[in-house]
Amino acid sequence: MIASLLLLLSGLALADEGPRTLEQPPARELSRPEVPELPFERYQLDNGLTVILSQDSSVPFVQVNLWYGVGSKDEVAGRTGFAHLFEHLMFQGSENMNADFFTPLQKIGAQVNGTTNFDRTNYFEGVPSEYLPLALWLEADRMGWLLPALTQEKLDNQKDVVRNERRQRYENTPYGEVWVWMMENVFPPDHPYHVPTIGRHEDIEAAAMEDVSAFFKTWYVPNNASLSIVGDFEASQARLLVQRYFGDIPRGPQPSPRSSATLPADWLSAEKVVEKTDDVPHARVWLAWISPASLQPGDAELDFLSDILSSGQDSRLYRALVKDKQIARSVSAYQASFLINSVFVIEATVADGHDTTELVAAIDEVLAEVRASGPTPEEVDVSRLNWKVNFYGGLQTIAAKADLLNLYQNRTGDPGYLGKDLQRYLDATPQSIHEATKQWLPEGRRVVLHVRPEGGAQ
Amino acid sequence: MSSLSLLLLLACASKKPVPEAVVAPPPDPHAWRATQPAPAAEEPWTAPQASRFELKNGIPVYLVENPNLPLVTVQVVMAVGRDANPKGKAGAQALTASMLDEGTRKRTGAQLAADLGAQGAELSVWGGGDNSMVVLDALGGEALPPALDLLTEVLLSPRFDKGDFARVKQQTLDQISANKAEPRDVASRTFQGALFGADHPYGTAVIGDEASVRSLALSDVQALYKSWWHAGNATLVVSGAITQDELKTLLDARLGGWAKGKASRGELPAAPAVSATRILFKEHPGAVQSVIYAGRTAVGRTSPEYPAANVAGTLFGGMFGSRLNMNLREEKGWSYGAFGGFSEDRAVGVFSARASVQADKTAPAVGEILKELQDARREPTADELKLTRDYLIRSLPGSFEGNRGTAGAFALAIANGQGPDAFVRFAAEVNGPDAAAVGAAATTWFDPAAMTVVVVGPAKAAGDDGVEVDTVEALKSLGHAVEVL
Repeated sequence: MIASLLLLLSGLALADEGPRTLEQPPARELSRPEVPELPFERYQLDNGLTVILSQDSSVPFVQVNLWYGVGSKDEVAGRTGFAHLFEHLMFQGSENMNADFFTPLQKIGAQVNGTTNFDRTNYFEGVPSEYLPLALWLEADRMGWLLPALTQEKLDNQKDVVRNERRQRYENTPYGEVWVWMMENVFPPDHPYHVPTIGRHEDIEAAAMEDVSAFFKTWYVPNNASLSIVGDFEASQARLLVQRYFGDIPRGPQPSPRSSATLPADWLSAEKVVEKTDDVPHARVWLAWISPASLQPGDAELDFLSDILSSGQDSRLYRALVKDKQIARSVSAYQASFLINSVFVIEATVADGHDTTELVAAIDEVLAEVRASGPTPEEVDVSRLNWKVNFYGGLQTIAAKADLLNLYQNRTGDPGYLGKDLQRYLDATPQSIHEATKQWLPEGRRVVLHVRPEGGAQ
Repeated sequence: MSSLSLLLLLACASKKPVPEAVVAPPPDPHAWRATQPAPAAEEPWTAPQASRFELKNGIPVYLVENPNLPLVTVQVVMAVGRDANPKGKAGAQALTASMLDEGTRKRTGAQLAADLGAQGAELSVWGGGDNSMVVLDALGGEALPPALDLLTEVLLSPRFDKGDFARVKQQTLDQISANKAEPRDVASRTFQGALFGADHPYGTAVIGDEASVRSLALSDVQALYKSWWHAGNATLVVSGAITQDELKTLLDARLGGWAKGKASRGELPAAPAVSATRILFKEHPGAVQSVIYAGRTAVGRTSPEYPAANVAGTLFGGMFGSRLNMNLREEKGWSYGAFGGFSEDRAVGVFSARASVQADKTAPAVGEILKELQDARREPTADELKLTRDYLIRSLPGSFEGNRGTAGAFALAIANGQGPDAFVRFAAEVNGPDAAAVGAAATTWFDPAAMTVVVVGPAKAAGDDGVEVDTVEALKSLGHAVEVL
């Protein structure tokens, strides 16, 4: 990597480089087993609930993690934000625990939450091992018996809470609405990712009890869910408990979550420039391309590309925009991976006295170089090591492991996909990253979103 | 069968007369679900303990071995906080920390980043309120020594290049101006400034303010580094796949020769006293919510008064089910969440209640916060006390997963003066104060007549009924002094 960076430097900057005689230890390979281990057993209840068990006795806890195969992509017209609003309602009590879901959990120090994104909804509790029955009882009760405890009052209250969540996290945060603007421009109106998961105020406000009931009956059935349990427990005991609490929840009609979308042939055939002014401190620009879906060919390559472009001070965009030209305060690139399509994003914030159009030109120079010659083998090796370390880092907590097992189950049908997932990063080459860059980040076919402060300057 | 469907069944059945025997519900096969399952026998949890040793020069090292994955985290806790800033130079300590990963005498910042990357290692450096931190996340085994070499260079021979300094200083100024557009940050800074005043080290944000940072020169950073970044101010916490013998050998060879210096922190000045509640309003034009901070200066983490205060504060606002959140979120729906409690600062702590609320409910929300404070000035019930103690004690174990979590937990305990055995003592600390002591703490600290309230939001907001709300006028109606900043 050092050699290639030197080529990017001007003559004067070379004088600032440290002595070249510095001993360079060889770049590292992982010396321990190449594939980190995440052992598990999987089975299905008669009602279709997928169960994944993975024991880890290094901590006296157990994580109960439940994925439902429904996300904001599955919402119906006029009800954006509903999957997430529904997730809130799942914490409002069920027939046999008709109180705030946190009530029996906070006194045992449990880590509790739920999240919704485009593709799925998850719920999780980390509890001391002896409370595994409690966690399963709670999850089963709301999977089977949510509606009897639901009232108009609870729905109205959570509509207010969610609208305040939207205000706090999107509208009252600088650049908070960028994701909204980006998605509505990157994807056409009938695409399931056109509106971000938080939804629109008027749709949240319009949600009615009938919507809640229909949504629950359609999506929250055991045959659309997977339950992973990771931590310190006895497998035979866990099987009995799962059967006891979930076994008699009736199977529902098999739902069909959206798994594809068609983009019009001429979609984003030319660059689409969007200009916004907002209450932001500095002008910032986003470049966004539609890219390969999560785990699909090209997805890992674009992860490599994001490292090569913006990870660390020696990355190409950081050097060019922040260090050398000093026209940007910051720059970052990332592949945001989702089930149907992903989005590759580059964002950069201007330095004083510069404009976002200058940043776009400078970014394009760097991209042109990558399109022309691809990354160097050294860049790819460093990024590969980084991704391998990330795989280990991602296995440090039982919460992360429980969610990962469900992710693989949900995306591939195989909770043991870890090795294949890692293999994508082992297999990537400078050539494959070069090809992916040319294929997925062509000139033109992208959204360019400029966000400038109100009042003109910068 | 659920009670709702049972009702429906009865309703349908009532349309035509049927024999009573048919109406009677069948035995409910799910009736057993109404009983919350009891836990299996409780498994005792013992707090992780770090083994301690010293390097040749006396630097204490705490190690928690974790052989599960081939990773090692090394966290260097430097007793270099805001009080290391020379007068008028707020932000010097943080800027010094920010300069450390900008290269070493042997390597430019870019080379350092590349060489760390080649070892699969990551380095983070930051200045905190009471301490400065350097964290190395590395691979274990043969990748560790070269990564430790880089960490050593960062600590002992930072590059302090003039061009880098100009850029990092500008980035800090950018951050300060960016923070002004972030209402939560504006509220937090205004609150902290109002509580401590400009002369107290805690009165200014860690990164400093525009004037102080503008005044900083490279020589300030070099001088601060020279006097404060010495072995006598360093403590190391390590978590990961390494044994004590291996670690001692590696660290002694690298950091064992680091010299001790003189500069060390002393007592912090007391915070100014507050005699009456005042509301400080700062307009944030166009905001759709107001950010509210209400609170006061309190006690440091190591004060004997802290345990009772912490139990009272957790009951008041530390849990999802605390009254404050239940009121503003789950009953009123005015906020996405409202929380409160005592900070864990080393010397002078802060009690605060915080929420972002929809703009038209700003003054009512401040009123509710003050009302909840007043209501909380009493002894907790036996159930409340048990709930809060259980919550605090049983939440602790979750901090220790992963090397980052483990090292970070120990580093925090060392940083705020509790020491590395804090977790062993924690249950006794929480169980120590009885209901009377917790009630006395609540009465002392939650006095709604001695609160500093900061509100950052729009001057006008559209109300439910279409009538415009004037925020300042509405705040004045609460009966406390209102200052518009």
